[in-house]
Amino acid sequence: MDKVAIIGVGLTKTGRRNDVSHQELAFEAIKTALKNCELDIDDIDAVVYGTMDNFDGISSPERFDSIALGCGRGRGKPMMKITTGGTTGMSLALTAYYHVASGLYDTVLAIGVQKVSENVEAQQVLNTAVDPILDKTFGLGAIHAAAFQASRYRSTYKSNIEDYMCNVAIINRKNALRNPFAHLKLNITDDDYYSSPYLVWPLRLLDSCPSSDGAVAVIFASSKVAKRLSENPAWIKGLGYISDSYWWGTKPIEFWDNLAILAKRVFKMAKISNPFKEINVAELYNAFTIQEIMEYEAIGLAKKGQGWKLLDEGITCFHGSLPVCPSGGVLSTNPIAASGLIRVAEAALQVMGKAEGRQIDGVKNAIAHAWGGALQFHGLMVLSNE
Amino acid sequence: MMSKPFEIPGKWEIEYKYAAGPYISKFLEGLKEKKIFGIKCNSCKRVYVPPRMFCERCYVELNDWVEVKETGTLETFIVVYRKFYGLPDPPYALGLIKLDGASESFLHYLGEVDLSRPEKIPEILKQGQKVIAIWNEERKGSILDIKYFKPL
Amino acid sequence: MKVGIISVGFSDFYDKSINERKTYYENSFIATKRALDEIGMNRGDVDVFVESSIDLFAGRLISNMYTCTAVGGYLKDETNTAEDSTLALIYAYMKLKSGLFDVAVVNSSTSLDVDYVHASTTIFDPFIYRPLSMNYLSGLAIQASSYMKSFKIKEELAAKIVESNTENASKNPRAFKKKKITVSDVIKSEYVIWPLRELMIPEVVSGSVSLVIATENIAKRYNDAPIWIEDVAWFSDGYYLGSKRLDFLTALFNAANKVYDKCNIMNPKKDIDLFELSDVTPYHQMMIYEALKLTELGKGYEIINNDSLRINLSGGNISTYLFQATGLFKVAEAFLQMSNKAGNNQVEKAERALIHGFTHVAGASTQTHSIVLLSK
Repeated sequence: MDKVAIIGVGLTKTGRRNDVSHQELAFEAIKTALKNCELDIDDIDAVVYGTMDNFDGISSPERFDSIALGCGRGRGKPMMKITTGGTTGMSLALTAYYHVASGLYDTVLAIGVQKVSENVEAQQVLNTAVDPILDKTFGLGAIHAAAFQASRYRSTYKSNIEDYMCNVAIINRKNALRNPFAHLKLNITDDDYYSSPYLVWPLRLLDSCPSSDGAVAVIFASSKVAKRLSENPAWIKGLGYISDSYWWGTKPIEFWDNLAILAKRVFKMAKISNPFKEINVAELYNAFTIQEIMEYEAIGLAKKGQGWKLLDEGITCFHGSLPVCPSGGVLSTNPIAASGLIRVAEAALQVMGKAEGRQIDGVKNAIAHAWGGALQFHGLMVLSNE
Repeated sequence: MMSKPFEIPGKWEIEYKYAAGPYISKFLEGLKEKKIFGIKCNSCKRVYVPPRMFCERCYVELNDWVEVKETGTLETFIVVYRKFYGLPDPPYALGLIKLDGASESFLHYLGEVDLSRPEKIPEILKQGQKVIAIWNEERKGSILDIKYFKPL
Repeated sequence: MKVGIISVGFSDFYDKSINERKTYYENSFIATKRALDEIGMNRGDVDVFVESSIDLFAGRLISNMYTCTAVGGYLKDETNTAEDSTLALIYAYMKLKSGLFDVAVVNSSTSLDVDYVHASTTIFDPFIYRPLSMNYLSGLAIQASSYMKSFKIKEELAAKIVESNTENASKNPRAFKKKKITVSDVIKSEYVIWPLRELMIPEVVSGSVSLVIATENIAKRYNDAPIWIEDVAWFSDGYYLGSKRLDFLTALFNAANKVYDKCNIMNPKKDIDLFELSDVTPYHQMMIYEALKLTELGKGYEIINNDSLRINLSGGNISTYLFQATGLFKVAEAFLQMSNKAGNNQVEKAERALIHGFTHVAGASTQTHSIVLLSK
């Protein structure tokens, strides 16, 4: 089975991009990725596209964006649209990987686009995902799901977990200052955090991700193309996905066991026996502060109920021994369908040594993660420089 | 030269008529009669509320209906303080409640709770608290035939 | 390493007149369970699950949150594409070809919770096309109109295609609508969006189809004669109507060339025994013939009287239109023919089949045409 690598990425400025249409935002990311690999759109064999339609006010926006993907030119392109909620970005990476690993294509472009600012309220849109007959009426959106996690973690493991959530908020928002593509760049203090209002108790405004516009393009290649085009590609050593039940009551809320199950499978594939020692940087899908702490535990970096200890020991901050989200994470930038792919892009940049101001030294192995649905989907990818 | 790009307002008004399917339909009819139905998997013995056509783990079709109690245990709770456009007015509390007789919790409002001060919430709502369903006088086969669950 | 289809399963199909509808994901469970039971497999034997569910029509954002467990994917590797379901099959095929997995369930389910034409207006950009109330049907009508004009095609020819498809449906035990519609019936029906008359337009019905596919060694353990996926190809074209030919399906032509080249098909009329094509309108069926190189440009009508070609034995979309699940329905029909399990409408010598999948949610804009080539 041949290896697959990432040879280049293209990120866009995020935030409120009312200067461009959906199509133009996609084009911006693709143009940048192609330039970074010295490729032309005609060199791309196939395209995998992801967006979560409802946020952007255009259903199936890949139809509108198709010309930005090269479909309006020459023979057109094989294009496939993927929608899996918050994990969409990661699903794009997995899909592009399989396009290449199957032997069908050599050079595949994964593109995630989202313009969350086009809608008035993201939680209202998210409320259209929950079961329309039983759950919708309660106004449930993503923040409510994360609030359940924080509430239960608090009651089960650590009554002052809020202090650690504050820690996560400060670290990520500070990391974003190094990232020219991040949306929120806030230099906040403890005081800022504790005076930030509760949105859905126990989550505050500063515990939450923003509604961002953004696009990201990542180019996947077979080993023969990767070796020709890149001096230091990011090889994909392990990858996987897990889906759980939608129904809220069927899973433990205080511990992300479905992610734990997935992590074990993926680390086995990547031949990583001690994630804490062997992983040098982790781009985790921390849409809300509590989730980052729960992700440490699920991935095996800390024991169940003890993720907060890593924060006490400064392990996950930028200069720590295992930096988490040097990019500022989802907490700083959340163009929903793109966010999962941004994690992959950031992890790839770290491995390729191209993360510029946010580069961590000596990165050999990096991981990228995304979660989605009713706390039910996870995707995980291990990238390495060999 | 072009001035600032336009922003065109728009709205989606798409009408749906959601098929509830035979299982949820029976559940909702039960609520009209102040009955809460669950469904049991004869393979793993779990009782699911809300009921469903199949057990996700055992992957078999389910037919064994059971009635569960209107009392239960509060497993998790949150309180909405922010008004989100298009969503219910705050403040209100939501809980995941495991009814007596069911194997898993389900989602509903928590009512008759003092939500006026966020910092007091942990004293008022507790994991493991007993709760009871408070019914609406008029019921029409909807999840809101139960008005909310009240901590005992 | 070959990959083959080893089983298929269908749920019941419903139209708007039937009150007792199940939810789309309950139908996914029924179809998948039937497909697995047929060969004595259970969900534990399956490695990956791929659905094709389009949120807008399913009525819920992230609509596969509900189908993922319905198809057996509880705590397993599952994903979703928002295209015609032939693309879900193609994705599963790629996962198996990577060597990482051996067995996949592929499923798609149509819901009738919404009016498709009404909902599809949101698929168009809010600036240029949506203000004109463009919807998927008006987009298809534009292509039909362009085709008629370019090649001077009379509507009686389109009506003949409807007649021929529905005649096939009348013999197919699995078709939803089994009544034959005559040319005269079609011409008497009213124009819905000129040039499309009511009886030329397939009606969406709800239901679900599942396939089980496996790599060669495992496939043979469960099915003595798996139907192999010989090749796949798909292409998408551009959005703006003015920037492309509306009377020719370029994306399908490109997919066909790719498949024919790879599989050495010099004469598709002779080299392929069965065709299952997505007749979103009968005019499109003629354009499909031309794109598949069964006949020359503008001469699609010549195929109409060609009795030696087996086209749409299933009855076509006009008889069973599961919207995006339609692709899997056609693959399943071809599978049954090739496995000698088609029943009443079984034909002889069905050894190679070409199935055409068509994501047409944006009408004439950005169409994704796919081909799945099956062989014994």
